[in-house]
Amino acid sequence: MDTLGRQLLIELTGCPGHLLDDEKELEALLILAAKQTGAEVLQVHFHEFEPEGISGVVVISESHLTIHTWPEYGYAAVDIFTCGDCVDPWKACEIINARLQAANYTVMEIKRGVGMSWKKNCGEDDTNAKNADFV
Amino acid sequence: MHQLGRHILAEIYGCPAEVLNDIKRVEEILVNAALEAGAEVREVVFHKFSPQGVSGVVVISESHLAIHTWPELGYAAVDVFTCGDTVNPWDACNYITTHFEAQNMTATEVERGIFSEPKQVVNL
Repeated sequence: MDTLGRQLLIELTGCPGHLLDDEKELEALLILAAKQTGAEVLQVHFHEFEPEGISGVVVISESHLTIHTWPEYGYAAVDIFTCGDCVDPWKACEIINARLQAANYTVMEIKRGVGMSWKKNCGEDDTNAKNADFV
Repeated sequence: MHQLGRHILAEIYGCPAEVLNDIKRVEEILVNAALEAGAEVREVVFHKFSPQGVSGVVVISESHLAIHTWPELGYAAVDVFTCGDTVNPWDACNYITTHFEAQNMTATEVERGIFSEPKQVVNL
């Protein structure tokens, strides 16, 4: 059955607190993870909360990655949403889980836009992704 | 049981293509939805695809709202993630559904960051 997108909801627990409170490192990690899937990064925004915690989004031409961290709980909520068959969200998942040294994690994969007929093939000229205009 | 966040995944169908393809309108609806829910908007990141479709994220102090639209299918995938007790993600979700003039909407709420004490399970 056709689906438009795949979304991974990742719950990371037991992460070292300092890894979850380093804005620059988390930003670099999410960008790296996005690129690892083969995605094209469009825009990045990260924000550090007082006294602790980071929120960040990476908008990719194939959808988005987000992270919200609670260093005091050693917990991070990560979402990876990709559309099309050319990017694999699980590749991003693996790299994030490994880098944040989670003692435990769970991943829920949710299919978005099920039954919608929209298909693109890898390697084809994808005007949706390639001719994107920055706003 | 304590949850840190509430995450609604909404599938919105039957929306007019011109609404889903209008980046300014999509952005305005998402920002207003965040405000409707009582959230504090921090950053707005939207992107228009060619020939059609809009992707966007509204970063709020209480987490985020995200949208991806397929105007040609009249479909939008919406996420509303909030933490804390002061914001109700369903207010944002309902606002978005109404203002996109959706014919149908299905939504799932996922609790994020659940921490609970281990429980002894008794077989009744």
